[in-house]
Amino acid sequence: MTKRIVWIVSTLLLVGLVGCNADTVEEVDPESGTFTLTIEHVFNDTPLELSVDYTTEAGLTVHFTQLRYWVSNVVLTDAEGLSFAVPESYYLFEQTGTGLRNSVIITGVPPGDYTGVTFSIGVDVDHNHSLDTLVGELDAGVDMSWSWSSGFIFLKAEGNYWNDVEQTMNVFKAHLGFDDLYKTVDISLEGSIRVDKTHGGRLVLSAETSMLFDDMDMTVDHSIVGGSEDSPAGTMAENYASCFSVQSTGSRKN
Amino acid sequence: MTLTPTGWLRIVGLLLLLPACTPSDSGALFPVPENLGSVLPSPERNPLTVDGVELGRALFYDPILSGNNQVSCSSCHKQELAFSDGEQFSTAGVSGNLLLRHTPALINLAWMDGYFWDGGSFDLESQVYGPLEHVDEMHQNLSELEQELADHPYYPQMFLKAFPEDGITIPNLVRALAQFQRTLISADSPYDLHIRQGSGLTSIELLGFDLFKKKKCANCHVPDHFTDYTYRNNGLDDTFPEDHERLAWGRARITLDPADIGKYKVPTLRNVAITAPYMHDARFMTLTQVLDHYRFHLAESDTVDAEFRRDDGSLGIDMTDEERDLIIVFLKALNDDGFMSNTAFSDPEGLQ
Ligand code: HEC
Ligand code: HEC
Repeated sequence: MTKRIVWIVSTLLLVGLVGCNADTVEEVDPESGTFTLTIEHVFNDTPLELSVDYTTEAGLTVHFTQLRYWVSNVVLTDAEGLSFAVPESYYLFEQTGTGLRNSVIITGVPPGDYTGVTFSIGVDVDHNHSLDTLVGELDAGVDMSWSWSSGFIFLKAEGNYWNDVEQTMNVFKAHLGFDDLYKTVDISLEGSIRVDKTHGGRLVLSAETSMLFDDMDMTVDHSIVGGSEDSPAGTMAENYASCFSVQSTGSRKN
Repeated sequence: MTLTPTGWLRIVGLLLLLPACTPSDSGALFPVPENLGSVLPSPERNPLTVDGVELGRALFYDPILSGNNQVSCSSCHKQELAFSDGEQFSTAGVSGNLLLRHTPALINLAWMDGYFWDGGSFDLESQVYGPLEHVDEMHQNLSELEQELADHPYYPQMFLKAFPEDGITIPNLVRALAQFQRTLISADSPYDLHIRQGSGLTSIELLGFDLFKKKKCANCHVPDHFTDYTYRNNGLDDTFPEDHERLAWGRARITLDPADIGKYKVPTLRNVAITAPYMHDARFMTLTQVLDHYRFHLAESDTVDAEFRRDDGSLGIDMTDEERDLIIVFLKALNDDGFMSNTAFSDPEGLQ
């Protein structure tokens, strides 16, 4: 009985409805399992390290001092096209001077053989503007939001780039946000990933961070704040939307 | 694979999120003057309560909100000036640096569609993060603030009363401040008495009101809110430089739409006689200067409002000096002295 109550309460919380629509109550699925999503940051296929110089294919030398972004609205899809939208899935992924967080363990995943994963970089319009409505890990106190234009910073990349004219490493910062730049990434898998109460699914993606700079002229666009579709911010957002690829998949017996 | 009933229920549950819960009824506790509307707007997630408003009021006047514990909201928003500050640009923040925009009065905020001069802040709750975190305003670290409040003699109790579920949290703090600010309603000027009771304005003031409508002021500063809560370009500038992250773009800084360049929120004209200086950059010291701007100095640009065009396409609102002065007489009849002295809005410490 207590278990049931706990579930009812957590369902209400997860549906974000405390106090209304109590008729959507359900019970915990004892068959459900976990799914671990990991995103490895790489530069030219090698693990990304902060403050280490890399050179892009186009010949730009850069290094990162931080890379942070919201991963949101994760949806797992099976071969028949049935999907499970992970409730309250808003996660802050980051590689900064204080550490690396690039993985999340999703619990309560209905049993199945999953063949596709969809997620977004950024925060959807319904949750992007009221800084006090916090779902998942969304938090207006972690330097990943703006108050002058209330909303979340979808992706923050900072570091240095080689400025050929000035013959020195100059600072760049890209703080991308605004509804236009909310990008959804579809990953389809070659096989499938099993999830059930005895199997935890696992997906490791690579984020090829060199791609952030594709078609960018850093000598001009080294300080980007905000973003519209047809601006350097828009270009960079297209870049991050396409920088993910599958590194490995698996399913581990608990 | 098929989704278990559980999985589906969860998805259905998420879809059911969309229809709104029944709106809370704060109406009885916080009545709205009939010429402003029938209900006091507030988001469903943050209905007004007596305890919430009381907490918000205490916080509004408390410098504990700032990084150096010396600056409160009321350092810049002073009740005796209808919650404006009388300065062109404030230096009252923690750093003492000049702010880049003028401090607006806080009047009838509940009805606004967007906060700040450019409407960049989505709602009153989100607005609070602006002053709270800005280095030149309160420069506060939010987790430190939570700790300070938790260690405080009376805030833990007040937060629990206002928000029994989780007490002290930053979202609750911004909600309490929003609740208090929604109660800052001004509609007891001689004009309001006139509207509600049929008398209150002198014949001279009535002449001014007539001109206010004839000279198109009322097309944007629409009675009885004396604003239509839109964003418009009233012809202050003809160039809009991009420095300070496009500050001079006004509304376009937020919408990124070139058609919004140079537009700002139409401010209410309630209590305007005591909220000088005027405009987002406080460039005018007197109402006479404001009116003369509309008469003689409107700046040409792609986005300047069509209301200001004469039939021949040129810009300006024609009026005599006498007509100008009559409009100003009317504007002074929008002063609501009770708003500046209402003890429900004052520093609660000061009352004890
Ligand atoms: C250092 C001075 C200063 C302090 C302290 C300050 N404000 Fe303000 N406030 C301003 C300025 C300046 C603006 C206009 C900013 C803009 O439009 O870009 C403003 C705008 C606002 C607005 C928007 C009003 C409108 O018409 O859109 C609200 C609401 C507000 N402040 C509330 C607060 C609250 C609540 C606090 C305390 C948590 C506070 N302010 C602290 C200076 C200050
Ligand atoms: C097309 C719309 C429009 C019309 C018509 C208009 N205004 Fe305004 N008014 C504005 C806007 C927008 C602002 C704020 C501009 C800014 O701060 O950049 C403003 C600001 C003001 C202010 C300053 C208020 C403050 O708190 O700073 C006064 C006073 C004022 N108008 C009076 C008038 C009068 C009197 C008339 C008629 C002669 C008039 N306005 C006509 C749009 C309009």
